[in-house]
Amino acid sequence: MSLGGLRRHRAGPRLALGCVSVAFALLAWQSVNTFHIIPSGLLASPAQVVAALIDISRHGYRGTSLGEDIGATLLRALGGFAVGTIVGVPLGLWMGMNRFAAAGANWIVQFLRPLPPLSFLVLLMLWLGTGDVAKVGLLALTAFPIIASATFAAVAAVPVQKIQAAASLGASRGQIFRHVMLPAALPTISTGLRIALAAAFSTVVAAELMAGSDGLGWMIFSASQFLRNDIILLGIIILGLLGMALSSLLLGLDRGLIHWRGRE
Amino acid sequence: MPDQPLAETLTASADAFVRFEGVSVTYGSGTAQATPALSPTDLAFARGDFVCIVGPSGCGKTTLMQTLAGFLPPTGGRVSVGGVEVSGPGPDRGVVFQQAALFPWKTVAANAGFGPAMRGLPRTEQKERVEYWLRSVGLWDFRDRYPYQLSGGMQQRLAIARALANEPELLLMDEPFGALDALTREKMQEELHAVWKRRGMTVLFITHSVDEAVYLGTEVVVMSRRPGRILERIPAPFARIAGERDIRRIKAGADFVALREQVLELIWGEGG
Repeated sequence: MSLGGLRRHRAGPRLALGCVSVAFALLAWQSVNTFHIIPSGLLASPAQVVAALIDISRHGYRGTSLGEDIGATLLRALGGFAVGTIVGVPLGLWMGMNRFAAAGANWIVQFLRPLPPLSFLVLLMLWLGTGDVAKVGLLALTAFPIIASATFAAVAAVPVQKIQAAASLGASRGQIFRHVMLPAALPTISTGLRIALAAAFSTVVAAELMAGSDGLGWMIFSASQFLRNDIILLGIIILGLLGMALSSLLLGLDRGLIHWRGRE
Repeated sequence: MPDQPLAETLTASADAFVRFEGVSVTYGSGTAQATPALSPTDLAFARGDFVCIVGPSGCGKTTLMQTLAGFLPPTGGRVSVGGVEVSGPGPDRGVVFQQAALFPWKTVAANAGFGPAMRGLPRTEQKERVEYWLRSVGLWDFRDRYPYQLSGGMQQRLAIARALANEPELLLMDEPFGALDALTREKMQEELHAVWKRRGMTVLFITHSVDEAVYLGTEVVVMSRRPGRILERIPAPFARIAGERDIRRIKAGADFVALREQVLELIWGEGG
């Protein structure tokens, strides 16, 4: 199929193009420095950022090591994502299977979904303290409505003929759920999980900016108070790479497990 | 096959196996948008019959079949199989749809064995049935593939094998070959006919193709436009003799053409 050909480019040229665009961005960055387009006090050069990386890797930053900061941010993001998944997937499944559950829960979920999570961070800190419980709670609140909505939509979209076929083959309600509804809904649920993880990850940094004494968000915020823009840039780059890694990890799991995605 | 209780056999006149008694369906009944889909319909047929329903689009053929499958409770009347009223879907009635409705997350073998596995048949029997039915539809060599790796005709053969692996007394087919190209379609007609001859199950077959209905059916039921009702029931002789003769020669014969034209005229008279 020609369309299939369009969708399956070979990996070689894609990899090369990706490298070229990254090299181009680095070159642009270096040029901005070299020609003083932005005063050098306000924009660190690539070399200065690498130096900051080496320095922080060795000595840490204000009492925490780089590994601790990365670990703290990752744990918060993944913890909030995990809680959001544990609550969101079963709730979405229940909403998809039971119209009373759907009617009861959908308004709450749809109310929470578009809210900027940071708008209730202060409330959470008042109730739960300024520690990790409030942050993980915030991220769970960020991830859960996205996951519940995606799961609900996924179950509602399962083709009725597949369910009818299973019922007429003698499957019980529980068997239909396990062998038909769940696998049919899995591709959409997985997409929802990826979006929710990205949302949790971008919120964790903002939460760390507002309160905390470790994590990459805290490191960036703290560095900005000392105008250490080499460390700010380093934090941004590490965050971006971590986000990419998490996202491609989930995408890899999706590709490996959900072989029937998009195929009938 | 379970023996029918004698009393029920006697109350059900003649040797009817499937009975529709005054079955009607109105979508959204009791609301302002109530749409009658099926006029009260009586239809009965015997074990081993191959009943083909033809009629214009939207005439309620699928609705009628869905009441028998147990997917749709009739608004009025009752549907029974072997004297027992239909109250929901069940493995005694296999269903094949126009879209194969396979499970792409399961292998070809797991699709074929879905019914026996769900019903908890002994493992050895599950395996035997899967092998028997995959071999008889020519998909045994593809047993470890996934449905999306099969062509449209192969997918539909798998859907038929999946329904038959349950060894249902009754096979309900809703335009099963409607999405196939003409050549594949004719091959599938021949194969289905061969399976029916060998196994002797009862079939209710819905189709748009008069040619298909006259070739496959022991009886052709012609339905009217919406709200559907049965216009005429015409016995067809070709299903009983086919298999000894070639499908092309049967369809080109004068008696086949005459019967096909008779059915077509009924449908055209309806303005379908």
